[in-house]
Amino acid sequence: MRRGYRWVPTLHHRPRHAPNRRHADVVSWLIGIGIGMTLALGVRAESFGDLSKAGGPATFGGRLSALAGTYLMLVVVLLISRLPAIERSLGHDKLVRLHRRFAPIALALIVAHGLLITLGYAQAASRGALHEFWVILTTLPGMLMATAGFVLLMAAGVTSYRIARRRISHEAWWLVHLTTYAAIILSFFHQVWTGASFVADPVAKLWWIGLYALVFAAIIWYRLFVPLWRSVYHRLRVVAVYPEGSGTVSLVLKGHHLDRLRVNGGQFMQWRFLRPGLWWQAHPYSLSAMPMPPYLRVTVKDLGDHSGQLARITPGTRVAVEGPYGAFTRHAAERDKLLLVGAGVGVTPIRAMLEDLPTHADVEVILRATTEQELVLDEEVAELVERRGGRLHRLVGDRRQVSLTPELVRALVPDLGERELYICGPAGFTDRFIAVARHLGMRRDHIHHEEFAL
Amino acid sequence: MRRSTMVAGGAVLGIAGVIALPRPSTPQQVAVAGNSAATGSANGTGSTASAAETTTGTAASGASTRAASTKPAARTVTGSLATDQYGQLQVKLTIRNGRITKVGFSTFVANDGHSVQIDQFAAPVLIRETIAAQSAHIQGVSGATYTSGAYQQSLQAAIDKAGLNA
Amino acid sequence: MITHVEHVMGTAVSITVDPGSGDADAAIADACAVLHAADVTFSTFKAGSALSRHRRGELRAEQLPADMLEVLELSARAARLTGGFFDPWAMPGGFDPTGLVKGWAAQRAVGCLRDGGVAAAMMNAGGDVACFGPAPWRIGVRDPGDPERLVCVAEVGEAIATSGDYERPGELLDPHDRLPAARLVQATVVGGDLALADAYATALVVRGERGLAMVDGTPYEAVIVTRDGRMLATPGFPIAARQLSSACATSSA
Repeated sequence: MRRGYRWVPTLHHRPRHAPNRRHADVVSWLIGIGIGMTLALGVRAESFGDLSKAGGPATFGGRLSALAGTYLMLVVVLLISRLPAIERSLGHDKLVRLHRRFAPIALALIVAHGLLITLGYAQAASRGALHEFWVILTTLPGMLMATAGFVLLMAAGVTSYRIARRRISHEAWWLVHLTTYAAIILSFFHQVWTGASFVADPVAKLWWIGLYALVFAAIIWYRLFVPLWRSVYHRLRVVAVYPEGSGTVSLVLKGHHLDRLRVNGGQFMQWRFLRPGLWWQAHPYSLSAMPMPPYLRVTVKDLGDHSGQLARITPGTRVAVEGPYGAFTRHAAERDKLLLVGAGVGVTPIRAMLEDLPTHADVEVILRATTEQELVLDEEVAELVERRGGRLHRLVGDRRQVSLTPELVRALVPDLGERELYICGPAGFTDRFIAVARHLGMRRDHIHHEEFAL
Repeated sequence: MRRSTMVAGGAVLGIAGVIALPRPSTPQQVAVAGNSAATGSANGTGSTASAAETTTGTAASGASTRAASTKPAARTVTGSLATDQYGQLQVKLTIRNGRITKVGFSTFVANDGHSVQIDQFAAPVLIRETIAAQSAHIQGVSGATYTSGAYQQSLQAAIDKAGLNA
Repeated sequence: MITHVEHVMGTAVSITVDPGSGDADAAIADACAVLHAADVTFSTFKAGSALSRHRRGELRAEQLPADMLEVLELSARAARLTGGFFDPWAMPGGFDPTGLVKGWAAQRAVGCLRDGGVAAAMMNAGGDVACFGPAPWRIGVRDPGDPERLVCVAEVGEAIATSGDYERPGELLDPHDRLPAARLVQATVVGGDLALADAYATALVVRGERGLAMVDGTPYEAVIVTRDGRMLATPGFPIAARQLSSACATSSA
């Protein structure tokens, strides 16, 4: 693949920047202690006399579901707050998956809360539920705000549902989703002004306020302040745009203090190109090489609106960044023998990782592409593999020509059982390859996989 | 250990921690409510706070209240808010010259439908703390029936003794 | 003020009288006579009392004394008003209106004092108080946990009665199943009639916090102490405003 530039890959001793897994363990324990305390405080605020009154059980259920649902919502928000303690160990993509898994549960609990409280109060007052809802709304403090917050939460939830999400633009979805912060804050007031668990118990109230303060402090610090600071500190700007063939381009950026950027090969950053029409979106792209101060490189394939525009970006454009994020790094593996598989533009983190692996790593690399032109960065990969004394396989051809079967994989990599797999590429390919690897006996925790599409 | 196990373990610890904490004894809710007593509404047995202030009975304090009946500016103090399933309750005290002259019981909203709900269900209100009998200047004590023997140690006996010796 | 203590009906009755222009001694003597007469008629400890004979079925309807009839009628009313939670017929030995008689007798005795022309009077019959006068009487409600402390001070114009589980535990039975039941530690009721207030208070202790619905819509108000240490008063309970001075100084209002 003829290119207009040459980026010299380097293999030298690099600082490890290993994540401290214990931090994530501590956070897990704390999350557990928090939910235990929250629910226990909620139960403690109840008197058993109340339970035998009309509406007692429903109200009790409503309070517990409120506590559980709100706590879970705070956890879900904390997961994507870029808190380094968890991001470094789990990786942003996994945290987003966790966020996606638990947010609907939190929402369901909050819906249950609304229904149960209305029902319980209605039973106690011997009123119809709808009438009771109106009474609650108009007489209890903070309820209008809470209802507004609830509507925003539901909107964010509904639009995130896969079917709906496909139909609306990414920008619209993102804007609606952003309002969840406001929703959570709006709901806070009715919790401390009206919530039975807090009004009577100053310890519980303090605890709850503390929780909120902690989560929002983490968000403000790690989602807003740190990225802002990092962008100002490194002052990145695009200096060159090189076509790599078949709709793929490499962007070279120049910045300050890049030697201070703690990054591992395989990580990605969130890029915000400060151009009209692009500035308000941040997109994740993996670094396609370890930083060579003062330069950074990303390699992007035209897959949609944003990535397509990058080919035409003007050198000199300033860039704001967030990160680096991702657990798709050398630290994910415990073994020295590795199988690195990159399909199409999925080669980018693999390419960066090849510069960052320890010297004694035994690497076997598979590059997959439909055509020769789509094998991006393969010369650099080949050079690195050779310097490491590893092996490289290029699998070129469409699906009829290259059939991904266990036999093929076993033939390519006979010692598969001794290796750990790193794989990155389009979902269809990676799913198939992983299935084959598992079929050949590979353990799930030896398979490291980065999902590009977030 | 899997992280999900850690979360579960933490939850157990959290629950245990709260159980070990002492319960709040009497919640910091409404100080007292004497709706009819203070505002003289039709409900209740018909005694009003102003009557108490001008009691000509044996309480010596009654006399001193009389003496201080010029009208300095009144101050309204609101107590802490309490919520239960019946709604929002808040005590409003009017203080004049350092003495409470009026105890109001206001709901948080002027919505009559809401306050009707409270009356309808006689939602009880919490009394914050007990009072030392000595400082309360009472004339009698009501308690569960005591026998003649138990009477000797009772407060009523002390009051009677003071009366007998007077 | 004149104070007199009479030991009758198994308890001590404290009488405080403001003579005004009446003959206090005569009035007090009359009142005590009423108490003793009630004791004779209604004592379950005296085998020859009308109540004991009635319990044994020895008296026919027309032989019942007028007082007995009055108490029977009052008992029926009380049982109905308390939803059966105060029921003199559901007692182990048969009809036993003792819980009612003390208050009823005290109320009558206070009537005597009034008829005697005194200005004001307060009679405390073992914890149940009947009174009258131009101004309400300041009656403290005992803290069940501490005899030196009060739950509150009530302004009582006519009557106040307290029932509790602590003086003689296990005595209060739930009439529905005849088993000892005291869901509250103590209940105090203020109202116009001492016997009825007594019945309400007893029923409240047996029934628990839910029983507060009984006094809803009636001129009776209650203050209760629950088993988990909460002290609750119905919104109309006549708590004396002056007691607040100490509570308010320490409040966070």
